[in-house]
Amino acid sequence: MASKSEPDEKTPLSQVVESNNDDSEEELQGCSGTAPCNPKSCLHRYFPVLVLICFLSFGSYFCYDNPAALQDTMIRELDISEGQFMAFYSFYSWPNVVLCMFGGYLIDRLFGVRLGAIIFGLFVTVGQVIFALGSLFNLYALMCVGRFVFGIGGESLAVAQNTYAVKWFQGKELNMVFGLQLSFSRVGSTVNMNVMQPLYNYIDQNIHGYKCLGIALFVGAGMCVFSLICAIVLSFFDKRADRVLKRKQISSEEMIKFRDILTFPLSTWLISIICVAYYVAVFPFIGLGLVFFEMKFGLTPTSANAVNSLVYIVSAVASPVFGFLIDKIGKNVFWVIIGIVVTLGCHMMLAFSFINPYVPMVIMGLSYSVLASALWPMVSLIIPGHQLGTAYGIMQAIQNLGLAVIALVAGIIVDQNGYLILEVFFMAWLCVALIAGVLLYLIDANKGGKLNLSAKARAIEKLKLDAEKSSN
Amino acid sequence: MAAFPTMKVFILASILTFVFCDIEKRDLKTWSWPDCEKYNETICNEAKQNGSIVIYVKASSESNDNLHYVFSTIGGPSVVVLRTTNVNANLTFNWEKLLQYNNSLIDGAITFSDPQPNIEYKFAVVFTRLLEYDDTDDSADLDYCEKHLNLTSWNIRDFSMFHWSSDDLKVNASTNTFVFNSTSDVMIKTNETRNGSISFAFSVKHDNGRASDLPRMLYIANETMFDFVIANYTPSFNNSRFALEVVVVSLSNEAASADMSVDLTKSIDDEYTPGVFEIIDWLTNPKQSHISGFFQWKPVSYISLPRGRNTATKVEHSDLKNVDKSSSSAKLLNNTVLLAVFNESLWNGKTVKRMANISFGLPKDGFYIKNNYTAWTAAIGYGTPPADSISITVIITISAGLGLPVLIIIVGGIYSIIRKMRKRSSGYEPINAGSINRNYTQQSD
Repeated sequence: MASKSEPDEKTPLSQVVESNNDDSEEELQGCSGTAPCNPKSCLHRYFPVLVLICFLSFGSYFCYDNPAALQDTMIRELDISEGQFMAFYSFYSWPNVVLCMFGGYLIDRLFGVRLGAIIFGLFVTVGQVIFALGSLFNLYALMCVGRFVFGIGGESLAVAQNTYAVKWFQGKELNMVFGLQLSFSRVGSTVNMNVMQPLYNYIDQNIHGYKCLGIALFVGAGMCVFSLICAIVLSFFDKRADRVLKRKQISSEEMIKFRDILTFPLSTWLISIICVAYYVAVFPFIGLGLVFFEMKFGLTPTSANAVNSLVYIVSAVASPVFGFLIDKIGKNVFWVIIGIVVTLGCHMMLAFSFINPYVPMVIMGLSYSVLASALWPMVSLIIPGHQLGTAYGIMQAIQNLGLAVIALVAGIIVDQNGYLILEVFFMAWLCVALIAGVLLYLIDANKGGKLNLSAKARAIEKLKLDAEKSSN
Repeated sequence: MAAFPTMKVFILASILTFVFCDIEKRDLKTWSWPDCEKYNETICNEAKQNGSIVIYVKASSESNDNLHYVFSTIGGPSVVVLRTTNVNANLTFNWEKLLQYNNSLIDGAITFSDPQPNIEYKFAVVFTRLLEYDDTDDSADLDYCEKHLNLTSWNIRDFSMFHWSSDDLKVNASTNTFVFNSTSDVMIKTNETRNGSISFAFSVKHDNGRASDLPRMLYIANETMFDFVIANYTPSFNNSRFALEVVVVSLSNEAASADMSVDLTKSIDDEYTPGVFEIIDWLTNPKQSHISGFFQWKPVSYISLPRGRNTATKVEHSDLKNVDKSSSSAKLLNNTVLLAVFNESLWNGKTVKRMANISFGLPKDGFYIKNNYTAWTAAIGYGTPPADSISITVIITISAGLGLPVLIIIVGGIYSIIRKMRKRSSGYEPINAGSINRNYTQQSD
């Protein structure tokens, strides 16, 4: 098992792979010699790479909620109905029930993560430009086309982002990075929510009506261009790192085939089930929460809105922190189960008591953060790197499908049977997530408990694995 | 687990027996313009033409425990409820007095025919005013607006000014429903051609059940449900909201009754009225239900059809205030059928008179003007008001929903403990593993 190149405790983990190369090292000169630019330096991983990864989908998250931020304005200026307005979101989400699975597959099979990120970033930008043009000429159909194109890019870009994160941070600070990505998605949509209306009002001083709206949306397109630039710069650094660090290239035999999906281990599907069953119990609830907080707890619309957005705000702050802690502690499955159980408790509090909803919603924000930063990185522990894009794509697709369907069902339930039954419905989904979580733990424990290792054990495991690789 | 449903059945049984004590079924008989035909045609026609509507509904039971409802538009929409117990008597109506013909007074216009029954209890609900106010701060808070808005922001109409249409009455003897509808120009601005209307649609109940329309309130045989609708008016202000001023009057034969109260009951269960977790009971005599009337509603109104969660907005009520004889609201009572039933006792100390405002709307709901529609459902009845209980379906769903995860955790926990124990008891494995570890450390050192 052990070999002579086995590193001792003093060898930094991040250099294990690199130091195993017998080939001559590339000389890094000028700026390249300094820490931020040197792919071997761990500083390089944070700046610029992590920053670029985070901003990679900033534009798409910013623009995704452009319609929500300008809802009243849009309905008024474009003279559309509420239903037509909601279609802006349907044209985004429904195609992605299928498309982002192919997006992930294309990243693995055809484009690679670098080209993939650029292509999908391009889709996002073009989609937003079409959307803005549609508004500029008051063409509703064109706007829908824009949202569709935007959607093709947006979700697959998220898959590319996950793949990048795993590529750079696996075995390092992956949980934290996933947490940070989550924060950034929230930051993107929060900035949008606070910026778009004032921006519209500012432009409205000179240009009015749908033209003004179009110009405001072009500013959103500017954000997409910014993210596209991030994708291009990131691809440069990634390519350079591949060269300098002599990262292994995926051979064509190793390349994923579509039927490989069928050979994904059961754990992957359990993680997907947890993912969908958990997310549908949180986000469709938030979508319907406003009236619930107003009517059951007697909050004013303003404070009901504040309570409703607590999950987003808390998770934006907490998820990198929890991610960091989970990196230190490990035991991902355990944290996932904790996240589900605590969320279940929050839903019970909301359903069966009149406790001030600030309390359960803050706790729900925290438990969501724990779950999200522990759940997504687990996939990278099961699935080999060359299939990761596809795996994340599938997970995202299942999640999109779940969210789209359950949001509809939840709307019907609440109209027919009220919020108590709705809460019970969400609790049932959390129970499904819990069953999947417990099964995941048992199956994983049977296979040696790879997913639920403590961080320390995982580090030792990794050392062994690297040692094995290098001895071959 | 098994004890749970049994307990439920027990509770259900006790609720049922409780309900059985009340009258479960009543026979209803409805008269419109009762006794009017006994007077000369001019009086009867005048009553019909000027919209002086009186509907008399007698809700009788086999035990002669009868409720007599008088619904009238005279002097403003009002509902008077009398409970008699000993003999089966009918009310008689003196139309000369009701119409205040030849300077006659309305006092004593409505009396019982012989044999005189024992009137155990009587109470009345009168809608005295319709308030419209310009809620420029979008507070939807009547108290706040009373303090902060100046007089020009109010448009207060006495209900006595409205003309009620006899043609729209639509009395249906089989469903015991009828409508007080007013399209009078009191509500309409000059140069306005819209056909707005304001209406009270009453439905007298003869048994227990649940309304099929939202807010799907439970009803009993001792009550009348009604819908209040303000439809299609162009409001006086852009930010107009509406409110009703309501007076409730109560008099029992027994000792002076206690003060009225407005009780708000909260529930976690909104299965019948999605998004509404409260029910409000204005009780005329909270301590003694056999000499008490109730005015019940859920704090929800609807701003468009069809009624649904999306079209719901809130209903708020003010604190109860005493109605002083000299107050302007008191003067409005003097022209209603209340005086015809209560006579001079209306203003004596035994009769309890309280008023409150009931206002419609929630901040950011777009004001009345958004859909030019507001509908509100409430019930007026005698005795103990009906109370919702959590349905068995919900209890089963919840106990399954909560029992399952607990079961899973227990089973999962036991399984993993057993697995660990087996591993430990399966012999030398740990020692082996230890030795490998030892080798490993030695080598890497």
